[in-house]
Amino acid sequence: MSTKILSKEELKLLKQQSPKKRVLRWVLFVLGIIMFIISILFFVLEGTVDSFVIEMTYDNEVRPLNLSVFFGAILITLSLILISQILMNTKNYSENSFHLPKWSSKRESLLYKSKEKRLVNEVDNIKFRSFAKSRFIAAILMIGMATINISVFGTDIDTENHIGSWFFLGGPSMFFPMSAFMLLVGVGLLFYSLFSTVNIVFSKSENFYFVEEYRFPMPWMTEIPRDEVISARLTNAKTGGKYFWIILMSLNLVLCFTDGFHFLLSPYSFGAGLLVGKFYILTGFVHLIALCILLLKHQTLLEIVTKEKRYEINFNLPAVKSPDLVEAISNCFDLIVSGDVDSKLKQTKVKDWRNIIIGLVFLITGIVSVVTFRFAGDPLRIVLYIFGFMLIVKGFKEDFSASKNGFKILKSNENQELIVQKNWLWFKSAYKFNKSDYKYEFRLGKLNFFDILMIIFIPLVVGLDISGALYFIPGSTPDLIWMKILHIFGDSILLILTLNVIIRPMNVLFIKNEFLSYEYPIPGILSVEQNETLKEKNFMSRFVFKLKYVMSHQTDSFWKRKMGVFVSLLFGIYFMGRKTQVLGIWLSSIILISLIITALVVREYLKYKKK
Amino acid sequence: MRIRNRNQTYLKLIFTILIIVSPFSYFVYFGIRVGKIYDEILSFQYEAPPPDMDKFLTANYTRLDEMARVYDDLFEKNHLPLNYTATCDYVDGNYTEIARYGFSDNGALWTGVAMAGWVFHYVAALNEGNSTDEEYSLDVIKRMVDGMSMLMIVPNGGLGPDFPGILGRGWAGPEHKEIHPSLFNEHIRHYNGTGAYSDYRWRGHTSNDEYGGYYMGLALCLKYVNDSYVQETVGLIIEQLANYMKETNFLGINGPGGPSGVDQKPRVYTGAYWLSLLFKMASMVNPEYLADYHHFVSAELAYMSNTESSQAETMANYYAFNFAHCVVFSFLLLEGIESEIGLHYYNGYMNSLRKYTEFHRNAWFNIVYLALSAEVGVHTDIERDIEDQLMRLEINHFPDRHYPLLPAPPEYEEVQKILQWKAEIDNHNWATLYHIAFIETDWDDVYFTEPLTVEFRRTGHYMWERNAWENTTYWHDLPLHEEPGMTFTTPYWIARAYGFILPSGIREV
Repeated sequence: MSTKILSKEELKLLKQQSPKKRVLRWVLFVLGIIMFIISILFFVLEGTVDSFVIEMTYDNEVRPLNLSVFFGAILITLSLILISQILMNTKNYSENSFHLPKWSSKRESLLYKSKEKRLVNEVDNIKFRSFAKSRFIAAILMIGMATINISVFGTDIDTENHIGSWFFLGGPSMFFPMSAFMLLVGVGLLFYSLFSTVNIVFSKSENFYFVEEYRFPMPWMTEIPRDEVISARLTNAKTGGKYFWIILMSLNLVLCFTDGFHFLLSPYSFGAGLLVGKFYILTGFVHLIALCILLLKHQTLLEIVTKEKRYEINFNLPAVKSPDLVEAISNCFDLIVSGDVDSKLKQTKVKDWRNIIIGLVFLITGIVSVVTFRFAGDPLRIVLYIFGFMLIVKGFKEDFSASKNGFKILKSNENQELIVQKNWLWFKSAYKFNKSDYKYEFRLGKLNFFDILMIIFIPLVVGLDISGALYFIPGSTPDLIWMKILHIFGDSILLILTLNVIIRPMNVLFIKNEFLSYEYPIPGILSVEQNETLKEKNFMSRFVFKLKYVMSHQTDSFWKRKMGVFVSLLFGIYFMGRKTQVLGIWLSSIILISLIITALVVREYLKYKKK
Repeated sequence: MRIRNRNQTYLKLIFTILIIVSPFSYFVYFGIRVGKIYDEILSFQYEAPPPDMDKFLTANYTRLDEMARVYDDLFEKNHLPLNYTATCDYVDGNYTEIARYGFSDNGALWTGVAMAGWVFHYVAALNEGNSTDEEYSLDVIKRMVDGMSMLMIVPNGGLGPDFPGILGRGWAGPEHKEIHPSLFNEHIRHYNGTGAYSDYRWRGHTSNDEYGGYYMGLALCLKYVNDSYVQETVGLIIEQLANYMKETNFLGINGPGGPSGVDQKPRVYTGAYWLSLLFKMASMVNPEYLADYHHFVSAELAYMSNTESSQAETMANYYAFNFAHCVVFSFLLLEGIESEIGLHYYNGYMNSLRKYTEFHRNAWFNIVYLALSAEVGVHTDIERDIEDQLMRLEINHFPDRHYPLLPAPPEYEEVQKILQWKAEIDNHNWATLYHIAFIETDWDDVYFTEPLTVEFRRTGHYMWERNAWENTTYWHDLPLHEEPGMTFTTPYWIARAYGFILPSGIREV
């Protein structure tokens, strides 16, 4: 069989627009617009779909319930999805295109087609079945716990009983606060894990990487032009949007543990109270385990960045073959480089306890507050729990590496490729950067979406707490004066810790090439040069030096973050002022606007000075 | 595989947000529409014409005093068989011998409301220097304090912070089987007492309605009744409740020890008065609770929930306005409206509960407002409205028995907007969905464009917990059945203690 490789002209042709795809794009767009109009008319004309009319029992009476509004909601969402296809790729490359191997051959021959036994590092045609087992296990835990709670507490909504009710007198059974919401989440996860099961084939030819996915509802394939790749990574340590699980499950966990421990530890608890307490705690622990599984034993991410696009696929590796498969996939996507270890680094072990310690401080503050009924109230506590837990997860996954070969930076002598590898427990990451310059610099750590949420919410609730304490705790007795001091001191510490998380100078590997600028945090590691600069300085001087360095190199980012904190803090106080009218709407607004203007002026001045 | 362009991110982001938000847009629109319908149908209570003051009965203070004495005498003799409020049925028209007592599901609430009347009777006696009245009212207060303390003792086995703090709706000892026979029947809410009181019976699954009245009774005793037994007993009850509520995370507990569903923590932007009142009382009894009180108000952000109740209760659970007034009134009396906290909560009351009930011509709601806010003579329209209602009770509610009612006057008109919206919703394709949104609303009742005065309304334990806008369609004449008379005595004695009503004479118009 002859080997097929595309010529340069053929490759050039592929990069042009496909007329068929362009037509398809407009067809989908028009369909979307039509569907959107129908969805609006459906609402205006109060449309009804018979299968959306259900029956429910309330007050011992069976009543019909027309839920056609859900049909309208689905319709409008589908219409927007179709409209958004106007942004779809129209190049001749296959991108998530329908693909059946028997009917459609690949554009180029694969580099290795022999089925003979080869060494792992020669394998570049990898087939495996990806099953989202962590989500499946989490789903089973949630559904299992919900089933137990249903069998113990029942599902009555408005019947008085001798065990317990929730929300209102004789209200829903205790199954509802413990498990109802998590049952829905679990069922969703179960469906996801079943329907996301996929057979994946990774392969490569002279000019392409091929990613074939045989999944519900249809098989598809993506071609990635190898010559356009500027970076790639294979990691099972990226949390990303999975932090949202913490927010989603936080209210349930807080309720389970708070009420559970109240029932269990109260000296007056007896009978059904102890039963309810035990099940609250049991449910909380099961849900916490599910959350930890979702956050710590999740899928592997393969990300390939080209000049124009970012390709991402998440998959689960079969446990038995996992180590070999990781190596094979790394090989397939050229994430293995034989080269020199970078000699500029003084140490090779990433270690930074700060996120974990601050996370623990947040969690412990919340727990101590609820136990002692002092300092942080409910709103501040919930925010501390959420972000405390996030910081611990972040610190655990990102801030450490194994002591032996835990962190390596390799540089290829042949083509100037840079490979960054990090191993820590079961977390393994490999990053590749093509033809890049790199240096070690102190910079502010990159903020993800959840860090930005933290910038907003912690100062906001701290602002509410400070203002509440200042306005409503009189200084009439020594105890109350101490209480005020406790709030001011505690809130200040929380603010300082928050600032420390978001305006923390840390050492990064700063990578730059024509198409990419990337920062890879390496907390706890210094280059030889940096070590020389810092070695005579004590702890505080080091911090001040790094901060000055960051301020002079990252003026914009520094001020944005700082202002983010202050604006949120003032909003906290502002809400309070608005509610009590003590501070007054206008006064709060003036302070807020003045500070924003001042910050902008200072920023411009610093920019001018830098020029 | 997820494929994103490295540019074009904003447009994609906008589409992503729109796609995520779009399904909710339907529900948001539905919610807004439901809210607007609520505003529309409930607007009648703000649009009623002001009552014609020329038609007010001129208050005869001497006669009102006489009526109060009759109501009080009957109450003290016939409505405290177990030292908490009950109704009674007489054997015959001589009204001397009692056939049976009637215990409602709200023994704690009605005793608290009655306590308000008696405490202010006591205050009025002090103000007027009437030592006979002072002793007389103090005696009744002590009996009720005893009854209220048993609502704690029987379920928990004792009084004070060393015991749990489950509150009962009612209680009876083994020797009271003839007085309160139903409590000895099997019922999901009936339990045996605890410890030394295990052969007693009590009624549980206690609602926040009960707590509202009970807290008010305790608060008023604590503030106004200078008697060692009352102060000591009430102090023990308050500490017991405060301590227990902290242990249960402020949840109500039922007989077998599980949560009853009652939760006294404030919900979003409303309902902070309950625990504020409890901790305020506790801090007055034991200064160690002062820090708890201020922690709750400030750090737990209770100050953000300084409103109470909802306008929708006018067509749903009107009785909720009553117990809401109990906690608001008591808290503001204890805290005072001069302090930062008091003023803030008072503003919350004015922006919610008072706003919703201002035009209801409800003597109880009106006297709470006057007592908290006004000097004598500032709001003569409200003062005269209260007097008018109290004077009219003589027409067919004096004494407080189930006498025949007068039919609603023909000039009273039904609220058309309610009928129109009901028809529109019933004919809507999504009628059943709207019915869920309005499931608590009593659409089938007849609502008038102005509130009825007392002679057209049915009595009960407390007429003021019933809806004045609603036509009375359910009533049985039963002159031998007597209610406790708080409908008159509670607003009357508060008004008298504050000087809005004089001990004798006739109002000068």
